[in-house]
Amino acid sequence: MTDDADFVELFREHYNAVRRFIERRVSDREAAADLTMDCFEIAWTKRVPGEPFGLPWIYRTARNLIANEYRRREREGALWTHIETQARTLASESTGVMVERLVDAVRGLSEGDREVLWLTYWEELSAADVAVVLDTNPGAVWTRLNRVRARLRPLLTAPEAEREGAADERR
Amino acid sequence: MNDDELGRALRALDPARTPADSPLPLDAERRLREIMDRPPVRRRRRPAVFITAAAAAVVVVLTILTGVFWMPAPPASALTPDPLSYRELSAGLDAVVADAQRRLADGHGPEEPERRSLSLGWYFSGSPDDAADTVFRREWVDLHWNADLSGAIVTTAAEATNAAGDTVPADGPAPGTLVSELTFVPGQYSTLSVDAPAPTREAMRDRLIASTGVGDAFTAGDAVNGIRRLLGEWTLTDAQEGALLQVVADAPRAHLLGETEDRLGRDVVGISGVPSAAPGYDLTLLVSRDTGRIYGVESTLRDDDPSLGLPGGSVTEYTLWNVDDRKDHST
Repeated sequence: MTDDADFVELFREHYNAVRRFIERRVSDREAAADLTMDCFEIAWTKRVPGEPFGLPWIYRTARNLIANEYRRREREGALWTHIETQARTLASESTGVMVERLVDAVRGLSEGDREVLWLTYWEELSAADVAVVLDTNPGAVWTRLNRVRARLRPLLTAPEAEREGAADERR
Repeated sequence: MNDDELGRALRALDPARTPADSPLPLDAERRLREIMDRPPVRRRRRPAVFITAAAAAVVVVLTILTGVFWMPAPPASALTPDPLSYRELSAGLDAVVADAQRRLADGHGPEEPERRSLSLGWYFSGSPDDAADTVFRREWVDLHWNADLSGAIVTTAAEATNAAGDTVPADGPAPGTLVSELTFVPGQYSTLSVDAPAPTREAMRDRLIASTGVGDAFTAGDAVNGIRRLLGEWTLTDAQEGALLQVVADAPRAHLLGETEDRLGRDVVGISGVPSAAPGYDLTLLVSRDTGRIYGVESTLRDDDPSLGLPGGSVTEYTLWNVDDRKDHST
């Protein structure tokens, strides 16, 4: 297979994943589509024939691209507008409180902790791949992820009074 | 909520709108062709000799600028606090606990349990390959909560202690810097019970078993683990702390390490155990020789951990309580 054919294959395989990655972090859908192509343009210019790079490398490039294009505050604001809209859409009467708690709890995390969380659950990357995206190592990712999970779990457990109320209703 | 449920809840928040199996847009295909039709600017690997020469040049420049040779980053193990060094005691565990309970009777703690936990802690978040990525946290963690399950956790960067090897990176936040503040509206704070356990061995053991979830396999290590959680929420009375010590003394596989000074120079005895949930760690309960109160818990690796780049015996975390009388901290 030629160098060009390899790249086209990589593009077709990963286009949607990269676009979704950027859509999760940039509110403007058109801008996300443009940034996706910018990302592949960088990948094309930086490729080394015979040494294919994987999706985590492209995600890392996308992160840098987003950081260059948007000031951090705008990115963060756009992301939270995104997430809160999604949360409102999802929340039914029975799960609304839980979803609100989750959003509040995640908002209280550091940016680095949130990024580990999103890469793990949205991009569904392994700790090793998250480490590639964040330019760190899997041990640090695991440690951080475990800390974040431990912090989120108790916040999302229904309080005792709520549980008792639910039990009463079942009786 | 377990990790699977947490994962499902987080995935449900995904704001991406393009379906994962969406067909490739024609625009994207067209633009790909434009990109690939441009003359490529390909990154070639530089010859190794050039990299070596460039690296040498950097070292020379650094040497001229700073007057010292650049040194590689220290291993993670060099950045963890030295383990506490214990002196053997002639008395056994039961006698040591009985002595602590006698001192507790003198009354140093609050008259009623308080829904508050103030601690000074040091935490390690490992980065075996690059010390610059290693996260150290020495923090004051101050939790206040109420019977209606409202409350707040305020975390601030803490000052250095005088313990050997208790280092933090020079670029860490200045002491007193607010690290995070998390507020709970009524009903939001989650706990096993809004009431503190009664000051009896049985009530304390039941609570520690409930919080660790280990059931009949409950060991001294589990007791220390449960105490760490309990004191992470409560400031207990002396009678309650005396009951906690009895649970530890009565649990299987408690090991009296001896006497030492904790990270703040306070005289303590150490009682260790291995928690069922983390068999790679020793948890050590630090009990004051002066007041009998529980002053801290330290976590130590039992064996080498290649993923963290730490040898067995490395301290990975400590939490100290009864610290509100420190001169350099006002609440």
